Amino acid sequence: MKLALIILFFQITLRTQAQEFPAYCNWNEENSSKNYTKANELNTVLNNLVSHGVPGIAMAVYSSEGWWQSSAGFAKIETQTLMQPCHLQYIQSIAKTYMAVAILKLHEEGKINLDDPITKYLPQKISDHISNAYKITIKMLLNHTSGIPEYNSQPVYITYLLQHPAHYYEPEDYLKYIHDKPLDFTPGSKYSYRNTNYLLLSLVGDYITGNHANYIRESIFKSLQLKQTFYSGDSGYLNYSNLVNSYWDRNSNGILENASVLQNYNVKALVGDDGIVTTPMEAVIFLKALMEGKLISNASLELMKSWVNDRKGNSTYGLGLDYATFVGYKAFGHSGGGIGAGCQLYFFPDKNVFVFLGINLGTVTESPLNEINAKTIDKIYSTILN
Amino acid sequence: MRPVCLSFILLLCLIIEASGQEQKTYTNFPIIITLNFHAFALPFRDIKANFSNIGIGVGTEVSFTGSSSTGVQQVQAIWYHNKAMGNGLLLQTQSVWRPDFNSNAFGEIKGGVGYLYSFRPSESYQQVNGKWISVGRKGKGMLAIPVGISAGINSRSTNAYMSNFISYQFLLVKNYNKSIPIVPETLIQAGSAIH
Repeated sequence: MKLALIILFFQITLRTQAQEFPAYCNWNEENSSKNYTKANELNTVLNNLVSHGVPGIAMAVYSSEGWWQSSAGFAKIETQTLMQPCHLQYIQSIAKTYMAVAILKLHEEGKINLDDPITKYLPQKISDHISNAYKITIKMLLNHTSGIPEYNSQPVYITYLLQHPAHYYEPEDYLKYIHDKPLDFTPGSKYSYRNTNYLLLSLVGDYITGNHANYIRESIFKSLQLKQTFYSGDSGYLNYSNLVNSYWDRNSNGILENASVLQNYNVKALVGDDGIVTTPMEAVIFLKALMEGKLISNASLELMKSWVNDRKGNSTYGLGLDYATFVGYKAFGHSGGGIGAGCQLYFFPDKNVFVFLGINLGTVTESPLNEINAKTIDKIYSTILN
Repeated sequence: MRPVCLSFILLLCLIIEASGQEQKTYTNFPIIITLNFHAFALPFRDIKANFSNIGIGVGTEVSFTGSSSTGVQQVQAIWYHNKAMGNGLLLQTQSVWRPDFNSNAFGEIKGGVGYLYSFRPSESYQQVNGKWISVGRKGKGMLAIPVGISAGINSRSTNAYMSNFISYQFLLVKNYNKSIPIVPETLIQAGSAIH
């Protein structure tokens, strides 16, 4: 009986495409599969996740059955605002794929050579922060083989960020945290993921285009008619009524604090490596367009899929694309994690399926809730792909 | 780092200047009252942040030998306000080595152990039986290892014997969360021990 009541409670909180959406939702019901065969099973998995203490989850799938979206839990616990597929999600490091696409478009336009040293495209005051910058190429930034140290793991940065949550950083401020630090390894010798690489790519973009954010807006957002995808410099950036609240398990004990201020200011200042908010559907639209060659040429896409290996010799990262394996299926895309959000955007080429998952719970620090997330992700992919 | 160093140097100059001829009379269990300035920061970094986060403390001490102030054990209870990181209540005990510079001036090196209860900076929630309930700013108790340096002067009047000091304390706080098991915090203290 108790179980039945709990299930009933979460069924009430469940929103699928049948629900009426507020005006801010960019949701076209006609485009959605009303009879997605995996819908019931997936909704059960989403409900199970939020019943274990994750505030909210939203997802979108594009498969041979068409579009499907769903959500569960709360976008804002305080106001009991239900999570809906039209809520804006912080996509965190998935922004790197957008940044990489922008760089490859510049490459196609003949404005950048991927094998050139970064010093060719960065003002000296920027490249002076990087040791041996002349040895590092654009491609090394794109595939994380540069050896440049990570700015956001520096204790001085972390403590300052947390003590001053509303501090606004200029891009160069981040580089000061690694000023004159030696490279972690010889450029090109191995792969090691660094946010600094994509921060620098945004500055390369600025150098070439004048404003990389405008270039991304014009060449990606407008080109794909993404109306609910926003980045640095957009009007009212990150002040959107349909932007989720962010929650953080600060002490790894399952108690969640509202970390929206910290999350919002943090993301607002991040460029290249982060900074985009979007809806699940528009995230999938982006990846689908990329994989279908609508954003860049097939040759450029193949470049993005030129994988570097991890320590075990397995393919791990291309140019702004992550090579992953979920429940036995290979996937191309990216994941993202922040103080108050976590997400995944992947294409499964063997099944021709695209999936976006976003939660409004921070995933950068450990939480018992994130163990449940990992199991849920596998269940979701297993349900969709099998 | 410069403002703190300069403060210490200035205080030391005052101490030397103020040195008197009277012999001090140490008594156990003085009342120690402190004004505290807290920051979530590495040692001697982001000093400005300290002065945004004020707190108060009360404590006492006892001499290891019963009559000399050179070696004492201190106990302090400190409450601080920190809007960004959450308020905190720190209970700590420290062994203090307090060499005299002259009859009225002293320095301190101290280290010990403490318990920090750190509140959350904003409203927090927990799901109970499928429903979200507010737990306010409920925080977490953690082990703290405080180490510090101080400088001070003894001041006497006909009615009171006080030791005024400033102190810079660095705390290592354990088990903040599973990803960052040890975090740094700092306290600047200005206070008086009223004998």
